[in-house]
Amino acid sequence: MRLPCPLCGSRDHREFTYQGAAVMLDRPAPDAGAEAWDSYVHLRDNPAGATRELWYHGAGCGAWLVVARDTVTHAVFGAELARQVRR
Amino acid sequence: MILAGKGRIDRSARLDFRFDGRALSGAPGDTLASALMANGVTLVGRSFKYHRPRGILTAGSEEPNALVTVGQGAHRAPNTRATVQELFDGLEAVSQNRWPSLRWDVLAVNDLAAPFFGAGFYYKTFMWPRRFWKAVYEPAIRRAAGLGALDGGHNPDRYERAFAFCDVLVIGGGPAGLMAALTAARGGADVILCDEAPEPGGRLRFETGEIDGMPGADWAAQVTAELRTMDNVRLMTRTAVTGAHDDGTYGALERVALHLRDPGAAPLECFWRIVARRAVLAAGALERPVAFAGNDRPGVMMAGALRAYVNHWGVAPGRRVAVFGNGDDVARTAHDLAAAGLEVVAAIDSRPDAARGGDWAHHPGSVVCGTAGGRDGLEAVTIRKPGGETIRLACDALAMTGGWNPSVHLACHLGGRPQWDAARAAFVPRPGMVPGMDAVGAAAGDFSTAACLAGGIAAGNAALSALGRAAQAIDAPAAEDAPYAIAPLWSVPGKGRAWLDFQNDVTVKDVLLAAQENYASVEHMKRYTTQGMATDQG
Amino acid sequence: MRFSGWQILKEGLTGNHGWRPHWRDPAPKPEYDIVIIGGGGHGLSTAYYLAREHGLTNVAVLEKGYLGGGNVGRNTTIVRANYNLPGNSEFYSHSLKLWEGLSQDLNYNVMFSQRGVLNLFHSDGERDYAARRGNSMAIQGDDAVLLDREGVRRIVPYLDFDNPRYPIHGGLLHPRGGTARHDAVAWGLARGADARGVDLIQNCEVTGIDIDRGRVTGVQTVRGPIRAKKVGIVVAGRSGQVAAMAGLRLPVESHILQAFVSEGLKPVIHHVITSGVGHFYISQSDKGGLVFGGALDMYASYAQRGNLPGAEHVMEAAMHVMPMIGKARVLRSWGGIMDMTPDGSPIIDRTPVDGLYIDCGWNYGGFKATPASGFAFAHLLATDRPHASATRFRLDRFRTGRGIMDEEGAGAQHNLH
Repeated sequence: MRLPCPLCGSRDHREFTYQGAAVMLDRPAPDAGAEAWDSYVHLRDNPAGATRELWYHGAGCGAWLVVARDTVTHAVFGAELARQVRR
Repeated sequence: MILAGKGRIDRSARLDFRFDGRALSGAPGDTLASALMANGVTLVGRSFKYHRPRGILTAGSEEPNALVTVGQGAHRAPNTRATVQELFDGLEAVSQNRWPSLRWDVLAVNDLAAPFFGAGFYYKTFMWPRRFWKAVYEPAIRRAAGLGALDGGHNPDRYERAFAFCDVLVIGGGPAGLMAALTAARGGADVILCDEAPEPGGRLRFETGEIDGMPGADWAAQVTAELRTMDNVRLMTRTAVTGAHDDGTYGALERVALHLRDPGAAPLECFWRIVARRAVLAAGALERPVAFAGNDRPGVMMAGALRAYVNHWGVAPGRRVAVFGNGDDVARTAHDLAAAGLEVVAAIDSRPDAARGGDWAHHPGSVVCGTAGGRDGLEAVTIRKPGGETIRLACDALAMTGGWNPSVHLACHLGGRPQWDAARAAFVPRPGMVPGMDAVGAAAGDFSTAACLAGGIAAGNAALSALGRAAQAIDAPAAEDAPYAIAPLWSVPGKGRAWLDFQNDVTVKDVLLAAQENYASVEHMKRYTTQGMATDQG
Repeated sequence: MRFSGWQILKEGLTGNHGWRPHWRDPAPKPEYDIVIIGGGGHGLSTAYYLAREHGLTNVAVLEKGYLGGGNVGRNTTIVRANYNLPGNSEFYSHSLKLWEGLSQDLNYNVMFSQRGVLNLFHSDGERDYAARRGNSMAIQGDDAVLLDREGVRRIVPYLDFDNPRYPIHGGLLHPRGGTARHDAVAWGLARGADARGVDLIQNCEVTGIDIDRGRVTGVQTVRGPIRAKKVGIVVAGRSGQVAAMAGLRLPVESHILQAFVSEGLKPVIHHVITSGVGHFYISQSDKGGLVFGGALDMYASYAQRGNLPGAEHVMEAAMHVMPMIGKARVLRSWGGIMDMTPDGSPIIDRTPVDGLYIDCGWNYGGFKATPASGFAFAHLLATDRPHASATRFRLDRFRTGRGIMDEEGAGAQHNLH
């Protein structure tokens, strides 16, 4: 599998570390309550198909990416810098 | 035996080797299998379950029978295909899965108990008394397991890994792959051509047909020479592409020094990770055996393999040869054997309307329904004529062909399923099973040389246009364009055991028993009988 | 038909014509007391123990493909009871006891082979943890032997003891651990459930779960609707999708775990050997193949196949631990889909929907749990109370924070276990 880093170009996925579903960007407010925090930390849509994930380009530029990908076919649709997704 | 003056390798130079301690000799260009055949060795191994005596079946990496251990001490490599291992001076090979010797194997007694050792028998017994499983039954089963043995010492040899990148990866260097590589390379693309053999050419090395008025093998050598002169081409011989992975990533294993007596500073093997923007699957096809009683006897061989031994290596398993099959390859094989001075005892074609191909005994609408002989090989075959009458013919070898299966394996690595092609009686790849990869030539079910050449040009041009490069106007060289004419023939009914999986000893009866017990899903069938789970993948 | 050596003899002498189907192919009935979604190992085990322990046979197992086609058909066959934490310890201990009688119980030889599981350690810290874990196992009543370096060398001399990066300091041996013939487990359970009257229905994908006012009423399938008083979801690898049919989100992320088998070789590895080097583990099957694997591919996937870096990582670990393996050839590789939970431990529980139950989250350890998971899930389905061996596998433990069983202490991230 190869991921299109917006800064470095197409790179083998061994350069990156998977960091979970991109819902991790949507951190609840500290007082949002147990349900919201349980949902944020533990529960996952876990789709069989298109998904959005965080990947860390540790062996490259060090950027955090939001990668759009298909979990069944492993097709990669694109990647953006996480800092631009979440301002 | 050696066919004096035949074949394409030079037998004037001599290489000494040993098989089971016996001193033998071959020639540069021999595989271990062709050298054994040159020396008249017909018994080369024992099967997994019944310890049946087995001979050489094929001439390639698909070999199920001729597995040997090469080398000594911690250097030794078990389960080496004698049909792939190139001969070198001083090579030491020993047979496997037999005790005390290949000729006298105690566990051959298993064959006598075959009625009790059918598919899945071990799931139904060995349960009482309970402690006997650990103390008695399982140790006995484990002692009988496996084929070759690891030494147990640390592997002292050197290996290497490497990366490569290219525009077009061509997998297989037969007529289709050579033309695809040549077309893409002339169009300016960076090309890697991988072929598992020591030289590209595929079936062209083994057949007698001509391309552009010259022998196919010479044509392949000429194209190979042109590719070697091009800076944008990397020709990787002795390199098998082992896997197709996501986004154009391929694994490939190069046998760098396994054909050398002393590798020196070179690694034995190198594992390549190749990233390609496009790929052309030109991996050819594998010939199918026919299931008939006694089809596993030494001396029964694939027809295409026998043509290869005769035409390329100039050796044969015997003087009197019968040919059996369901397509035009019967006549093609008989023709090549006769041209090499062998006696074609019979050409047996299951098709009632099969045309007589030459001056030999012609048996249309007939099948082979039995074989006779000892552990050293075939002595006779029994033929059933259309009316049911049987005749027995003395012969030293039988060439069989059940048609060809395109090598679709790599196309399936990302989970895609091939489709059934009734006309070819085979599975062929669907487009897009591996994104960026096109199957072409025999791998796509196009079996004539002309179709392979034209398909290779088209695939090369398709890759060029996908890369944004201009297509090349290349005329396909002139070559045979015979239609692929076969009639499906999966098994010959009758008494006796007919092998489907030679190495794992799976017969037609085992598959029928599995179905009788409702292991009818193909996955259940495979797992219950172990059909297709041996080193040759069935 | 009872299987035995005599039966084989009799059939062998009379042409093997008497063998009967091991299970029927029944058409689905319109209604069952209990519908189990998923005909893998745990689903078949649930059906078997529902019939055997609770006398419940008006039960259907709905399988979208073929019986045993789940992770029970694509694992590395290891069975062990060497857990450290309460909750897991008693459950796997119970499972091992069920394994020890399973072949006789099923009248189907699942080739459960107690050749011992040896966990290597490569540092003082790992030795301390091995000692702690061995003590936990002993307290649970299972067996554990702490071996020093020479003790390990005596039983597995072919390992690389002096690898500069991962020298072998010793190992924790669990003699009752071992392997089983994975397909036979599924087939034996299927035959046992079928013989007791359970309907095993293949090629019957569930497409919806019918819920009326908070209570489950049945399922929709590709072969039509089926009413049910209770529905159990046992679909490891697809838990999220099936649970979503009932509007549930699970604490599960699906990951791929690759495994490999070598060509057949004469017996050379007796034990199951594991190492912390890349989570590497290996055993040799009764047929001669070296069966081995390592860590997850480390990204969410349903592809049932891995990628090259994961495979290369396993090969590297193999060469570190056991350099002789370099002369073996890989015959096949495959990938299984793992339900990864945040604490690496499973879930057997009711759901917020009445009559709907779930058994999921087996991470990469589901095979050894096959009998006990079915036993406990059957108990829950039959009695609405968790079985004593599985009281801590609660669905809400992450929300409440009570009873989390994080064996590796890695923290609440799905791919770290």
